[in-house]
Amino acid sequence: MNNHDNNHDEVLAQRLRDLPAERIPPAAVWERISAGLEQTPRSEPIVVASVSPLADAVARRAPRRHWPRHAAAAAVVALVGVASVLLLPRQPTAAVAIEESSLQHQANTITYQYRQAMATIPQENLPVELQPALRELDASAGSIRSAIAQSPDAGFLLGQLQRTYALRLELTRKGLNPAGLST
Amino acid sequence: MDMLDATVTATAPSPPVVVDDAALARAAAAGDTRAYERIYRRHSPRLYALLWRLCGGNAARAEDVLQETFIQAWRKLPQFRFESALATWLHRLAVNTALMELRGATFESLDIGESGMDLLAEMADTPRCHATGMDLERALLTLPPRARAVLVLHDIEGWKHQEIAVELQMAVGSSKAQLHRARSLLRTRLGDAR
Repeated sequence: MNNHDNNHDEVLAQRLRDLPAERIPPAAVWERISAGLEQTPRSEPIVVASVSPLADAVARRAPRRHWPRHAAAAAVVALVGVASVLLLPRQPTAAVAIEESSLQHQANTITYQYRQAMATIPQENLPVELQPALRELDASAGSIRSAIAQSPDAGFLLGQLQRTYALRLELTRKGLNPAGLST
Repeated sequence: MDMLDATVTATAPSPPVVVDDAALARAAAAGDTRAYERIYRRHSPRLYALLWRLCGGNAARAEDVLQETFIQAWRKLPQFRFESALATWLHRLAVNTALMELRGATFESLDIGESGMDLLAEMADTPRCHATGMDLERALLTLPPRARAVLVLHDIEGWKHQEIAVELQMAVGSSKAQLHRARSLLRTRLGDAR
């Protein structure tokens, strides 16, 4: 790289640094966090061992909302699956569970593919009434991914994740084509 | 604005009582949710700007990551040893959460080229002269996720390649290559490639 390139890189980097450093999140974010705090067990001071994974997964979910029954049913099934695996006895090596497992890797791939698919769908005109259901499905997918991170041997969670993403895609597409949206 | 925030300027009508992060963190670690809310009010705008960029402008995703970050932080605060600044700790936690899916070799191949280039091509009709900050922000969001993450962390957040490599579980050389690629894509988008 020559000086000319370096100068351009520095100019570009300066412009990037000049972009706004702050962005105010919607008020609803704190409301969801606040609602989740009461259900979130705390870690013991200076102890590496983790907390109850089931309670943790539940705590990460957004507050309950009203949403289409078929989406609710699918998410409940997903959560039952998550809960069942999280209730299994934990391996004593929880402290090193941060390392990515093969299952996590597959989950990441599925997630990436899902997001690629979502990126092809314009979402500006989605019905407002569908948003809570979509958010709930997103939260469910997040819980499943958390469960995968904590239980790297629970292969069936991959199926749960795929079904949740598939339902999310289906609902999104139907939301853009209301004629196909069942009530 | 949090009236006790350290960023309150001298133009305020009366000198604010500044409660530092460490005091708030100790209170929150002991279960004080009001202290934790003040931590959130103080740090969330900075973190949300970062997450919004890392998530490619997907506000819903950025909000989810922000929520997950602060739930995790609440859970882990009792273990916080004050060996780093609270802001640094939250920053790392947020980045770690946001980039979870970008780790792993699979994405080295998946995100090279197509998606980002396609998006860039779709925006080709936009006038390329006199690029403004908004143009730059928009162009940034069109970058492939991995390249965007490296660019945001290096050029905006000031991380070193070694730190980025560890966070994204990639080689230092890959981080440098992704940065070079991201800058090239950005310059192409902005029409000032030379």
